[in-house]
Amino acid sequence: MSRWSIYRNAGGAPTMVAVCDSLEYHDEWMGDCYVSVTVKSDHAIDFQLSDYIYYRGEFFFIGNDPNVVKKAKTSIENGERKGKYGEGFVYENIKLYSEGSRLAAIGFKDYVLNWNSASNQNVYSSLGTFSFFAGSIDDLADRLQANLDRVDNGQWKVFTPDYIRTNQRISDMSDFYSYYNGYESYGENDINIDVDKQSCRDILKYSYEKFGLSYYIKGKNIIIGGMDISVSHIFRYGKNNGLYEIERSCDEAQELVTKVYAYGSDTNMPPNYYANIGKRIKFTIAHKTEREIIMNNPMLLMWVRTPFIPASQLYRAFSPTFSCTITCGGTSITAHVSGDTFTYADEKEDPTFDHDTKYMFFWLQSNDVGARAFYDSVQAGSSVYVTGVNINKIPDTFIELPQNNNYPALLAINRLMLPGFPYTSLHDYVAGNEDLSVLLSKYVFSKDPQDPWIMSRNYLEAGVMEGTVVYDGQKQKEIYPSIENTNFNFVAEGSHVEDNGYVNDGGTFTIKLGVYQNAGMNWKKAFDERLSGDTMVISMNTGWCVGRDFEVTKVEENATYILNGNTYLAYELTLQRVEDEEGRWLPHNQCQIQTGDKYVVSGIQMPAEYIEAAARKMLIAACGWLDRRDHMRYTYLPKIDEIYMARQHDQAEEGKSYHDILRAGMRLQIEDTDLGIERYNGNGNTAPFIDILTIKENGNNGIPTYDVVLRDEKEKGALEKLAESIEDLKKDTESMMERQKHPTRDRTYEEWDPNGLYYYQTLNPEPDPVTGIVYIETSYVWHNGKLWMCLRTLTTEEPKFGCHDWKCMMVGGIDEYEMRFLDANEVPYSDIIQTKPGYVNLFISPIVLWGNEDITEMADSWQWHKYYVDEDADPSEMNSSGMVEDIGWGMEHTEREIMLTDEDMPTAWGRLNPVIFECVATFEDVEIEIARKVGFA
Amino acid sequence: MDKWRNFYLQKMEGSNNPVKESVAAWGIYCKDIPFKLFDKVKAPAKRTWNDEHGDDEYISSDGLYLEAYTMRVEFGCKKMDNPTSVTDVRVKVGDFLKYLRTSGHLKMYSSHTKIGRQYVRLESISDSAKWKSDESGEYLIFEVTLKVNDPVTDITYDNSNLTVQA
Repeated sequence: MSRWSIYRNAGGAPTMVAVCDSLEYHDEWMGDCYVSVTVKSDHAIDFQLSDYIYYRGEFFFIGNDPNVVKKAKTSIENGERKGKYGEGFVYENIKLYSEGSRLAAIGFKDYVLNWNSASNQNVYSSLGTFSFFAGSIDDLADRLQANLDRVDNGQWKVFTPDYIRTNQRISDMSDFYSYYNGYESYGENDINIDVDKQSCRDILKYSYEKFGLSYYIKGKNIIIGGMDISVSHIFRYGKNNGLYEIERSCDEAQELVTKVYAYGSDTNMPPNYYANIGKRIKFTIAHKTEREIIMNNPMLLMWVRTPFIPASQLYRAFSPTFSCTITCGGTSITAHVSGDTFTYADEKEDPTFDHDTKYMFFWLQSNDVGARAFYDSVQAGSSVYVTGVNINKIPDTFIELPQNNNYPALLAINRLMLPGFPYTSLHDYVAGNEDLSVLLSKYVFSKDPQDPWIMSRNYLEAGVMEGTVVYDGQKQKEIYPSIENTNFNFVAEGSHVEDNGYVNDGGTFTIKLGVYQNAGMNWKKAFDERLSGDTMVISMNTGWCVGRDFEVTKVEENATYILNGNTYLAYELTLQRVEDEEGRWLPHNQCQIQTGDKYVVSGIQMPAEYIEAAARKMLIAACGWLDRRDHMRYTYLPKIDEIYMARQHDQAEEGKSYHDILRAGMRLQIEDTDLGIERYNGNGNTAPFIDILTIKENGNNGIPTYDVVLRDEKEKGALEKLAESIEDLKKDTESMMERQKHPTRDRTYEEWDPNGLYYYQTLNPEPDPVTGIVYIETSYVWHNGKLWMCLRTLTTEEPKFGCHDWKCMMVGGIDEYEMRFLDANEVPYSDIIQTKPGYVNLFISPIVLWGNEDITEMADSWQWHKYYVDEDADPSEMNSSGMVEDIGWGMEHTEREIMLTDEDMPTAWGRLNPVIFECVATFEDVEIEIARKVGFA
Repeated sequence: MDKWRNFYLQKMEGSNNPVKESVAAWGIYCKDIPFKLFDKVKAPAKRTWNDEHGDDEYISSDGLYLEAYTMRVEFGCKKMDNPTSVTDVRVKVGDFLKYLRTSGHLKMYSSHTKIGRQYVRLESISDSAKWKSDESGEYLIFEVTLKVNDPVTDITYDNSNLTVQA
């Protein structure tokens, strides 16, 4: 039988306000956490909102003025109010809330970290209705921290798995390792968040809803994405096993689907697109010169260009007009297309050359990777396939049809379909793609080319339950042909707008985009050949202009460039500026589109390769969608045996009893062969979460009872479910990839390798081994006990003090500089050394440490200063300690080591007239000064 | 009557409350008091497993806890040989019961059983009071039920004080 006291801090020691015999603890995963108590008293108690209970190591504060029932009167005796009946005043179910509940009372406004600092360059408005872009969970955490600091400066700490970003928010990182296994970065998520008069608690929930990272709050520490913690015991039914009853119930609101029809969006879809799927443009090599391959297809240039160029002009137009991809024998190369009736000397001697015919020329530039090999591989008569050209404008003579080229003549579909449609059945498509064939063991695919569907093998048990999913941006995130997640969907050169955006007419600006040479994408062609009425739009996914759509008014093809060994085709796009809600035109000089910002393009017709890629993406997403619906989801209600819990509590070490450490969000491992619950797989990470935990102290004859509700995933409210469906695509895809926690590439920091390749905000051409995506990357390495961030791509410099290619990320307090004084015997001296007056003979050798690294030798200059007491000196010459500096002495002491003797001391120095010597080391390269004093008195 | 032993009471709330011996204070003799150290133990937390015999009970390392208990004590008040004797008995018994009622928690000690307890309070009075005579005279015998809220702590009478036994 335990009792709890309610205390009040009214200055001085806490005073006890009331005592209660019963207490109920309620903890909901990412929800409310409170204790509920009933107080019975013989007199009325004036509870205050700051009154608190300390329970399980946390403070809980009264949330509301509690309800009270009066059952007896009180009287005044000897000036003191006395009750007539011990339970005369009953305060039932007083709720005392955890610290985390206070987040609901803190508004989330448009503030950024260090918003009140002069060094802050981030734009903010302080309004309660605004939008912001979160490239990662840390961007959200930064804004949370800014708002919490605004109200309760320094009290709250928002932790995320990224040590460096967390350390930028909070200085005391001592708790970090108790929440996380190590350094992690969660990469980019690119989420735009609209805020409308919400609280910090509302926004904190987005960490789970939008970023898939759960959180919990311990005191005033907010831990986002903390490591999964499982209760080590595996709960089973039976005496001393932990459970006395297990109830399993299914989610009746769940939609059970075993067969799904999936459709995509119509964005960027060419009309009648499926008519061209499987078709290939095939030419025959007519002739090849030293630099040119000439096709046997007269007037081709007229067919592929828009606007139409009259044949008469072709004789005068000899310059590359656009790029495309040509393939021969499995080798692909980017070619530049032109046309003319040039006659070379060797051609004159070629009897097969027809001088009266205009030819299409595919130019292979000598600096193209593989150009020479490709050139060597083709001969006159070779078949060459061309992509990146509008196939609708190519005569049928040059079109190679797919083998099974038949589909209903009246078929009219304008949106993305599953891959293979309408020529190849989904089953054959999956079976024919090695990377997809693993799906065959888990799903049944349609064998009708014009009726694609996916069926879970669970249909054998659950029957055929049909469902439809449409990835059109309504309920599901849109899927359409796009350059998103390619290795070139970033801006090669950003905007350079000079004005501040407050102009009458924004006008236009330019940016440059690069396209990986074999990507089959040509922005100029896409712009020129967009459908009538369509507007080509660049939508920024990251950066300062995230969420903004810019209309493209002009596209120019520039020279190619090489980055990290890859050749890129360069395009200069002229875009129309847009006006924001405050009447400011974007971009402006404080808010530019920057190199590396990601974008997507709409309003164009994407090449067939991108349509197929989108269809494959939809196939994966639909399989994931089905995975989440092809079986009943269960809620588990295990009844925890409090007698087992009481016994383990007696045997547990202090602070390790489940009574003290259980909390919502932990995984509880339960197992029952009769009910088919096999939650524990040996690694502990498949156990369900504790959704709600209730502890009733003294619930059973003096010992606590426990109620838990377990879930596979967090249940959401109606609005949250709507938001979830929008984000379903991400989860579906992740479900397929079995990457529930890491939506993008994880990054671990390895030791610096002298032969390693390191990057600074630059494309790392090495694709991620898991996702296959090529990332823009900034490298981090460990070296000499410090974490370093690369500042120059492909640097070979060793990370060390003063190295400009690396920046020390100042972790764990190692950014502290320290000067120590050593004498000849390396005995450190304290700041104040008391010696007998009249006798000074001291050799001082200063060293400077940066963390654990001795950087003494890297100091650019040394300067000693001597300060002493001179009562006759002009007060204006005195420092704050009332001492004056012997400037002449200082000018003579600019070496590191000095020997102090009586000659260095002023006359009449002593206890009342102390002398202080200060050594200053300057490291101009990194603009720091480190100083230390030694005193004599 | 001479076999009857002393019965001591002391009010617990406040300080310096006098120890009262019932005969000296009110002329009330303790006729019969049970030798009762405690009564029931509190039921420990238990679980009855449907698929096992018996119960599974949790007993903490402190052992079993005791429930509060009641004891019925017979008191007697001698009727004097004078015209107002019944009235005298009425007053003495009334004063004694008033003391029990208004004092709240008490310490008590019986020299007969050598049992003393604290946090003892008046629970009830029996309605079966009766007159009884022996060689020493006539007595009103009445029964009082006392509730012992602390069935563990021993109280002893020592040098006119009721003290907690170490």
